[in-house]
Amino acid sequence: MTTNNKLTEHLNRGSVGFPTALASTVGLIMASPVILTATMGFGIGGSAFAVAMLIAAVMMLAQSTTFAEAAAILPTTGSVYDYINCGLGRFFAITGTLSAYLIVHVFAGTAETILSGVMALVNFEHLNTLAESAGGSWLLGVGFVLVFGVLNAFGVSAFGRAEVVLTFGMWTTLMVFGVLGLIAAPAVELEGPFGVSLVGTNLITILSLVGMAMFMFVGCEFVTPLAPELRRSAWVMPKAMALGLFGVASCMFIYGAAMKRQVENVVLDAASGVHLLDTPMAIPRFAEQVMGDIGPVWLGIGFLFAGAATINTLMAGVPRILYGMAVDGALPKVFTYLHPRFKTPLLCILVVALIPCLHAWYLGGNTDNILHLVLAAVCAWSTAYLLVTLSVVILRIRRPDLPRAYRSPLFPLPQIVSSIGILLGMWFITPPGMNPADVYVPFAVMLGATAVYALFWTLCVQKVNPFRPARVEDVLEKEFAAEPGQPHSEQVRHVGKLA
Amino acid sequence: MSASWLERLSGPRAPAGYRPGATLARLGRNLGLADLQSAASFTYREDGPRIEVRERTESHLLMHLVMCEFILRVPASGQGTLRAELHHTGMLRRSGLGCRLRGGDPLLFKALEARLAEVQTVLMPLDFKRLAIDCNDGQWRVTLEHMGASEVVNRMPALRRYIPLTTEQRHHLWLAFDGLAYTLRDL
Repeated sequence: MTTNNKLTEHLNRGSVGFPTALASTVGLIMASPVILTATMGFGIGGSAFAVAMLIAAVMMLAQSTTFAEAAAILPTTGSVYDYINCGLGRFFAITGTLSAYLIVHVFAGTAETILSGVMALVNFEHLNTLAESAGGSWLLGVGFVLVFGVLNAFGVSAFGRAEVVLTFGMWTTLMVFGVLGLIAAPAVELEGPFGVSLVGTNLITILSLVGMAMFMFVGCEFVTPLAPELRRSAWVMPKAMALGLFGVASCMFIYGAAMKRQVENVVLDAASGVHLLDTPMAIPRFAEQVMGDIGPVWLGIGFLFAGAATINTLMAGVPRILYGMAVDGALPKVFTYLHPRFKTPLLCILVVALIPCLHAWYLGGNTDNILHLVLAAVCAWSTAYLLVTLSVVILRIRRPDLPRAYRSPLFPLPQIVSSIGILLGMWFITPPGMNPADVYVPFAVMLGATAVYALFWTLCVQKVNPFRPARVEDVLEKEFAAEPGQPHSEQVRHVGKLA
Repeated sequence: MSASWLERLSGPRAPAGYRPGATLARLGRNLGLADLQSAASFTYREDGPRIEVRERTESHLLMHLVMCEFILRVPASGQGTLRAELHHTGMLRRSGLGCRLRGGDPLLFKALEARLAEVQTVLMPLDFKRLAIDCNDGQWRVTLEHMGASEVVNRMPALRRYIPLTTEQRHHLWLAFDGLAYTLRDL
């Protein structure tokens, strides 16, 4: 069977349908940093932030067509790594993949750790007062990390089978609060649906809010690793990504408009210029305004579950991946240590738990640092997006003959739109009043370290040309060989030699 | 309508993105057996016992784990039912082998416990997560879940990784099955 035929067969097979693909794109909608960024964005920018969100949504829609084309050419489980490897070579593939996932999680994972506790407890006044007197509500997030670290160390699985319920519950909670906030009598007199901008409405200001707005759509590409499992993935994936983006954008617009209608953005600290909507305190105020006493409880429980589930995912998955890397020799052997009784990779769990805890502790759990962390994560994430776009463009030019079950429409317009948008978003990423060095320096240090590691690994360990792109056919053959019922040619040869 | 919704939400379901047989196929290549027909049922040497393997999944939010269970069946010489679980003991280092009765005949359990010393040496270095020994209908059934031969499928961060069964652990696994098959045959 030719590679083309195998690819067609591969794209039509699969066990996962449209609802799961859609759930993957909106899976992180209620992550605490996303909600706080939306609240702050609408608070600072009002209608200007709404425009920035529209720009970000169009950019992401354009970017989603690029991801969909890449997934149609290479429906592999390696996703981002394989796309960049075939377009630009291993150096950029390693840098881009680590940038997209590891660096994003160093920043966004810490933000989630600090905020999951803050966002949950801020809705329960008495508990919040108690936590603040004990050192700060952010410690609850650290507690989550430690609890789920310990649970995983004992081999206990939490949140099993709850994925669909959790995702549906998060989206519904936000929509219910948003719609009720819109239909209730307004508590604030607004000019327009989102109110006036506190930082102006000129082009530069709007561009400086695009970076924040992009964070609303974090994870729309999380569906791409599902490509091999999706039924008719070339048809399902672009539609799931587009509908997911539309679902997130509409939910955030409704939530933002409702928040501005129901919560007065009063000045909390005249010296520093902090307003209520810049802080997590705006959330319980909004919930109470919309639904009375039950509102903060519902929202608090929602944030509690969302934060706990996100942290548990990190604690359950990443240590096993580190363990697998150590077994393969990519990490020191000490990481293969297993608990005598539960056979859990204790050292890996410890490292994964310590990174966000120590980072949060270093930052003092200060929610003022959240926006820096979020924007640094956006920079890392944008870098990976640019590399994927460049790879898809290079493959179109260099390999027009490749079978493409889905082609990005109006090529190269979506690629130009998304790349220019992302570059402008990165250039103007710091909102007015923030020091750009607080965002760029930590991001540049992490990216530089990743690039050095990628160069060392490709040159000294793998001993390959770091800039030579892989052949698409080779990557596909490897993926097809890994499927059930397909003999792996290298293994067959190896076994033959042994026999 | 509502009942079917409830059933679909609360009933057992495969994790999103689970590909039945994919991990088993990886295990098949990982086993490195020259005449392997299928990883679902194989022998590791010509006159060795037949081993069955089946996948087990564990769901988490935006991720799941796929583990392989190795099953060995041995005819029992006597009658009786038993359900027992074995585990390593120790806080930081493995210090011994523990055995827990989960149900069935306590006398048969005592007999099994007395014979476990014979397989202790081969089970000590083996990284098993679960090891259950059942006796039913005149047949012993050993179910072993190893830390290796499993796969992590993460969607956030988007990663998939197969944890291999190393050559050393494979060697320990075959020795353990040999030892258990020999010990259980006389019980």
